[in-house]
Amino acid sequence: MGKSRQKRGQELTMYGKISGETRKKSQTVFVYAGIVLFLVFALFPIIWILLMSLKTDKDIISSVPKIFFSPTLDNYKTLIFGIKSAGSEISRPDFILYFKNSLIITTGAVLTSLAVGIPAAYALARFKFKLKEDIAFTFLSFRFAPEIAVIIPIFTIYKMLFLYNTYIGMILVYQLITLPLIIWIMRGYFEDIPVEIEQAARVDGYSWLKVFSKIALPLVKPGLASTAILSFIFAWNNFIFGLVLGAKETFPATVGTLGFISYESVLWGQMAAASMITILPEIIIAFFIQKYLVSGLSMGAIRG
Amino acid sequence: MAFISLVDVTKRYGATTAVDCVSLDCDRGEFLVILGPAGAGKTSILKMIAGIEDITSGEIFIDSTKINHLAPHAIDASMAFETYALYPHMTVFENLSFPLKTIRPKWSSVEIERRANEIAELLGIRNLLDRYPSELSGGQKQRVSLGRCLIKDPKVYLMDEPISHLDAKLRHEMRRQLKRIKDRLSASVIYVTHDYMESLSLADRIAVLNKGKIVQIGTPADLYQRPANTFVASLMGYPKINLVEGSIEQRKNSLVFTSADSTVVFSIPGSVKATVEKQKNNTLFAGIRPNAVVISQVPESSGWNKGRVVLNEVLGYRNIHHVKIGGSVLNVISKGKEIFDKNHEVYVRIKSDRVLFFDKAGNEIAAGGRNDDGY
Repeated sequence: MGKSRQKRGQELTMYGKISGETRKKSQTVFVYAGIVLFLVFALFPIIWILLMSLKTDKDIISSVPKIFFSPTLDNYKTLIFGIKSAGSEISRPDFILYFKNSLIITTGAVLTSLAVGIPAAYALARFKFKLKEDIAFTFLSFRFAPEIAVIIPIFTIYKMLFLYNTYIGMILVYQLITLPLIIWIMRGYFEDIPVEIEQAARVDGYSWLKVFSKIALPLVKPGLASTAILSFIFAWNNFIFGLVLGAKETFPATVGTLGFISYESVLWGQMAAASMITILPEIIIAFFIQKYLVSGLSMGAIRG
Repeated sequence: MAFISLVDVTKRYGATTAVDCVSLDCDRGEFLVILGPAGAGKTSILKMIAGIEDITSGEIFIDSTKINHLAPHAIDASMAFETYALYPHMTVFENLSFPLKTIRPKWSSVEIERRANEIAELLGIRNLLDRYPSELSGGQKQRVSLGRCLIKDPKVYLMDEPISHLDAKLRHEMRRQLKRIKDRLSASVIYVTHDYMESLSLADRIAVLNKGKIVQIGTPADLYQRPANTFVASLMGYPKINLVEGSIEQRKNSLVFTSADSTVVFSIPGSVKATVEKQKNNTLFAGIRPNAVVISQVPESSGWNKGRVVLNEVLGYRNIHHVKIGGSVLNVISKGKEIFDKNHEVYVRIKSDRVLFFDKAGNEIAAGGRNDDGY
């Protein structure tokens, strides 16, 4: 009697467990279905371009899109080595230059913004001074107007200052993209550090500059990494500044990709290959620093 | 001049005044406790001495050097923060040794390690040296923060509620440890707390602070036996002192205190008669400590007040009864065996020679004299 009751109890708890687990399972299924759906939506264009870059021009323009085809690396070869191969009429070996331009301009722009923006963000987060909020707002306002609205005056100014079609000029104008981002996000990270941690370091005998480098900076490192990547991506994807303020010598890859469209034809295959190469740095960076990206977004753990 | 000296120090944050014209001295080697409720301005005083808050007006001297405009690193002080303020990206060992790295001439890493181990040993955190602050419990964090404060040998130690966030048992244990550590320190200590027990047990002198102003400065015994006003009297002791409003009357041939509704009555002892008699027609407050009341089932003689128990807290070695007498409720501490149930009728006698008298404004005018014994 007693035994059977005990058994029933066990069964009951077992059922309870199962029903709980099933609920969990069904939830997980929904979550994964959602993720898959999103991935299809987000990755489809990329996969399409990837396939396109591996096709010959003939395959690309066939009226029924070909799913099965014999892949070829011709487009990449032409792009990188300038080798003319069967099926591609004109080669655009300039693309390597544009890619290099992108690297120089974007890296330069992000590094400059970090050098200027981190101290600025720290000052805005920690020090009291006149017009503080106005200055902060002015930085943010750089992002308000679309770039196209200011591009003509900037073009005129650049012509006068001989900044047109120079790396320096490009890096400078890219500050409009990267600097406000870095200042505003980093300001938040600095403000999240409890002020008493820095005060403690000052009482421990460190000057404010040392406190900044030994306490504040290490504590915002995860945030710094994610912010730098974010601004790198924004800058890398920019199109209009390069188009208007640069020329052949300083075109970034985004503008360079446009060059595959000409009067006579559109070099779809090479354009697709160029697109694939263009997004490569972003993917690589995001892949290596995704650990920081996650911890950067959940930095509340800093508190006591 | 005293070793540490605050002269008319005021601190304002915008329109609010946190510290209001405070003057305070602390001698070399003295353990001074600043006691006050939350928001009294205690932390602001410490931070001004440490140099991390600006001084709105007034002057602060350490060892006869004016420190008003010195940067924190130029002031020879160390501080333990109420929030611990440990460096999250450093291990316990790195946290402890951080202040040592600023000592000039430079210490060798062997010296630093030896000192860090020594202080870790003292505070019982030797086994935690490799951990990060996020891996510590509240009590462990607090000990690390205390260790970081004690590791240097500065002119002044500043401690801001260093053990207030611990649970009761650990707090008592740490209080005892602090008392032991205190004897080893040759420097001055300014210690901030809101716990009167901590202040009584640790302090050489206590400064009571309320709303940014110093209310009273004195030895622990002074403050307990002769509180300057009802605020200090209320702060010292738990349960809180009973304050009964009433007046002095001549009854037959003796002078008595009666509460406003004539329910609490006791005769004035000879020792304070002369002082209290002058206030004959004024409203007074009688400050009756809960342990200055005797409670009984039956009146043992005349002069016992009848009341009713409205609440009892049984604490083992002593009990707290809330006894309603007419319009006033008295907290009464009784011996462990004396337990009276709720709604029980009881009689209480007030040990009048231990009563404190305050005038209408709350300032002390007389103390019954025998206020030194007991809790």
